[in-house]
Amino acid sequence: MDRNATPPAALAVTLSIDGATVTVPAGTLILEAARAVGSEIPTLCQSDSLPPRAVCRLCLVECDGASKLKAACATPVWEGARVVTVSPALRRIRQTILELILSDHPPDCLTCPRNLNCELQLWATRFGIRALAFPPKGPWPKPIEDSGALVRDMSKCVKCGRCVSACQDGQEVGALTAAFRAGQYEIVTPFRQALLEGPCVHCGECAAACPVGAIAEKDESEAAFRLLEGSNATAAIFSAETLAGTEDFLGYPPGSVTPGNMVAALKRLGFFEVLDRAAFARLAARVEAEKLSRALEREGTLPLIAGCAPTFRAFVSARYPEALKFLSNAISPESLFAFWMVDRFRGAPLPRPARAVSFQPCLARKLESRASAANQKGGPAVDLALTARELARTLRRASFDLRALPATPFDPLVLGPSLTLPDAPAASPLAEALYAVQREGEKGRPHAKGPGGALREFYVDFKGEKLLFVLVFGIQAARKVLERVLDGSLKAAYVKIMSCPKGCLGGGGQALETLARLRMEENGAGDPAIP
Amino acid sequence: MALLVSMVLEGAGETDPLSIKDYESLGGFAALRAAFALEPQAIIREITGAKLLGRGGAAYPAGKKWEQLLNIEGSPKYIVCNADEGEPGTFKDRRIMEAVPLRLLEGMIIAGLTFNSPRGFIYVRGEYRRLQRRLAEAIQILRDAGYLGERILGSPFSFEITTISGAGAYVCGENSALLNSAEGLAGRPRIKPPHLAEVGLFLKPTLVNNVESFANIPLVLTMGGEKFLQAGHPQSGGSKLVCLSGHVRAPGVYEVPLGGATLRDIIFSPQLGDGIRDGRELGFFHLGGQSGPLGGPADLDVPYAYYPLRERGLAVGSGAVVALDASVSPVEYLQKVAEFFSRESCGKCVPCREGNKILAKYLQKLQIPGAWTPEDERRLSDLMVAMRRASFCGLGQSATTALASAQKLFPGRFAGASAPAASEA
Ligand SMILES: Cc1cc2nc3c(=O)[nH]c(=O)nc-3n(C[C@H](O)[C@H](O)[C@H](O)COP(=O)(O)O)c2cc1C
Ligand code: SF4
Ligand code: SF4
Ligand code: SF4
Ligand code: FES
Repeated sequence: MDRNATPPAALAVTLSIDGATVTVPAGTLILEAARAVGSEIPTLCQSDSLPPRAVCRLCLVECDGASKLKAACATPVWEGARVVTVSPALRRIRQTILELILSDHPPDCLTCPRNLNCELQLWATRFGIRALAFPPKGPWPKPIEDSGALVRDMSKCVKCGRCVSACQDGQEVGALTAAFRAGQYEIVTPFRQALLEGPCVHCGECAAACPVGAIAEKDESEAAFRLLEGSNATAAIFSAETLAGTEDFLGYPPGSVTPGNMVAALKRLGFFEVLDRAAFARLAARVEAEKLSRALEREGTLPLIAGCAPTFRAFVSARYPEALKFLSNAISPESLFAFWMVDRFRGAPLPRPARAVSFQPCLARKLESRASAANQKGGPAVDLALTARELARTLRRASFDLRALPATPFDPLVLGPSLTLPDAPAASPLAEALYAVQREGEKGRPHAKGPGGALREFYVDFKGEKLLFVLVFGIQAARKVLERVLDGSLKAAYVKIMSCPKGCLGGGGQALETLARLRMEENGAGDPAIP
Repeated sequence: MALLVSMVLEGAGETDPLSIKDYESLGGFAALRAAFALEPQAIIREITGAKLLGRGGAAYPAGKKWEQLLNIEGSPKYIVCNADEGEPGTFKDRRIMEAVPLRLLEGMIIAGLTFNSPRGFIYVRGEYRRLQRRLAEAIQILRDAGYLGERILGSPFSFEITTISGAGAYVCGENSALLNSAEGLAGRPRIKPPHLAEVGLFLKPTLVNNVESFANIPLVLTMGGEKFLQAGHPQSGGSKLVCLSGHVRAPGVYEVPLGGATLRDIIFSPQLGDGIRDGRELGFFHLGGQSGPLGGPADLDVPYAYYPLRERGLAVGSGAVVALDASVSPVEYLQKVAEFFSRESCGKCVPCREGNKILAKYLQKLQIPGAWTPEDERRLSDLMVAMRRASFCGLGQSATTALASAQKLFPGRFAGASAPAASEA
């Protein structure tokens, strides 16, 4: 919503909120209109860009002096409405609701992954909740680790349904649902099947949507430290998107930490070599170009569809098995990095084993790593795949000012003579085009609201022909594309599917601060500063 | 006025419930035939004039509900009958479906005609297996006789009725949860607005009325709205089926004219409840199901009708009247009520899911001598306000109704007064 633009009269609604008069486009929710006049209404179950569920009831407001309260997150404004968002009665109701949530919530903030970045903690703190009439007693269910990338600690779940909505309404994957009644009401996978066995793409949209520490990445930052202690030949790669998230997480102004600072920081943590993930992404594009040019020569295999991560295959198997034949076994930059590492230290007289750690705002990558039980391929794989959040946490522990570190260049990606890269194909215009599409996918879509924002088309000249490359953001859009592929109506040569609706920059493993900033930019709220 | 009337239940027990002939001999289907000659507005005018209030519990004026649906664009419009009858102590819809199912169906067909609807659905409580079969039979009989199906009675109007059933959850009686359940979704309430009249079953405009409400429609049309109103209370016409249970000598379903009987008549008259069993005293009574208020001996002379009861803080609700003798502890009774709600909450909103759990704990604590503190008093009151005002649907909003009425009815038993009493001990 743009505060400064005046909507046309017919579509504009004027109302008063806490005594301030405001004119907003018809259809604006009370919650959004209130933000425009600086009234911040507490919310817990609401998340921008997903349909409201209105179940936490924190956002209730008084309207037109009526005793019936309305949920600001689900109620559109109307002409002449008089809305009150702060009153003694509302304060008490909200405080009671928070107390009710805390009466069934483990008091584990200090050891919780979301400590200091938790929406429940935030409101409980603001409302000054001190003692509860019936303190929570447990017993608490044990965290569920059935995916290798995500941990679901349902003892912390406040049943806001944001994860379900992110997965069902946002992604249209449907790996999560709400089941049972009353005290048993619970967020589960359908039939409690393991996440790994269902359609889950491990995008982490659920973790990114969760206001508390109930669904989170499997935190391997401690494992990274142990790895560094046990090896003096550990190499790392990171991307520009990871750097952006780390900056946001640690509170640096955007753009103030250079890649050179980050290389220095990682070396200070004990990494032996630090390389640019983009170098491996370029290499991956070359391998992909080989596959595509072969597919172009064969009949009936187009488009070549490449998921951003192997987990996309699980989704296609579960939901569109007929489309499996179009799927490319795309090799990821992370895997190439692991290949390279094997080669890099072959025969080198190093006392400690060589290890590879990748950093990307991506949860699906974890399933590619050696640390994941899901990775049974046995081929070269990075030892650990950490998200941007974990990188930031790792650096936070080291507590130095990243900006003060001397800028250090990336270590070069040298393709050695004994490199065992699959075919190690040469650079080509097709590879460059594929890399460009890949980069667009990583950089994400800055203003992705609306269905059109989820698709981008590129035309590539190839041997006198114009090839259509389609870049797809998110599984919801991917479903439509797959359906078009299957009914033959999509005449593309290549389809790149980013599982995350906002690409890697807005990935499920990104710093929550970055995700909040992207959301604000998407909603056009003007000031992208982090609250 | 007589204490008992025979309007909705006319013919019940005396005629074959599945005989069209028997039903017609009592004037059955005269209303439907008359309705064919009436404009929808005229039909609704009678219902509005009759002051027929919804019999499912919320007492929403049926005429107003029908008027709203009529004014909504969009088709098809669906007719849904709420036969979930989940409110404990309520068993009058069962009686209608058992004894006079054709009256209910006639009411629904008239609704179908009014809104030019192609389909009606009866959402029958999961436990009412036998009734589901009976209704299906009744529907087939009407189809065979030309009252249902293609071109009803030779008119251009076609209408089908289907029975559906959930798995038996109290919350599925809430009309939007009912529609979700009917669609095969989890039986949890929807966000309103949009109202069901606009976005209802399968997202189409939908009318949801209770069994007894539909069964009154033929009466309204045959008697005329004015006479129907006169047969009841000036603010709410017609009769009400009362489901009398508890410690009365003669429990059962009784049809009383609204405003024509008092609670004393209902519980004590030899024609109705015939007093409390085993020579005991009446302790209190619970009206309208678990979501309704408690009343005591001092309330007995209130006429049984929507507005007089409401003025006393009481309610007709579903028509349940549960009389409890003086040996029943109100606190223990309310503990059971609280347990009911904490079991039946659909679980999706915080005030109801968590609130009912905590409410049950407060009621336990009230029974521990010396445990109650002024702090508990304040917090319980905050909790009750939050549940009533902040719950997502009627279930959570009304879960504290019984307790709130009991606090007034038994001052000291539920209030701070119990704290000093305990500290004296
Ligand atoms: C928790 C809950 C349970 C309900 N159960 C029933 C029920 O079993 N039968 C019923 O007719 N109405 C029930 N209602 C009321 C319905 O939501 C709705 O108001 C009614 O079906 C409308 O019909 P009427 O206007 O003809 O009464 C229930 C409401 C709530 C909130
Ligand atoms: S989820 Fe939030 S409130 Fe709960 S333990 Fe974690 S930080 Fe604390
Ligand atoms: S897991 Fe998180 S997002 Fe999902 S319902 Fe629970 S608290 Fe909400
Ligand atoms: S009040 Fe809330 S939890 Fe209770 S039944 Fe309604 S929606 Fe479900
Ligand atoms: S934010 Fe509106 S009800 Fe939760």
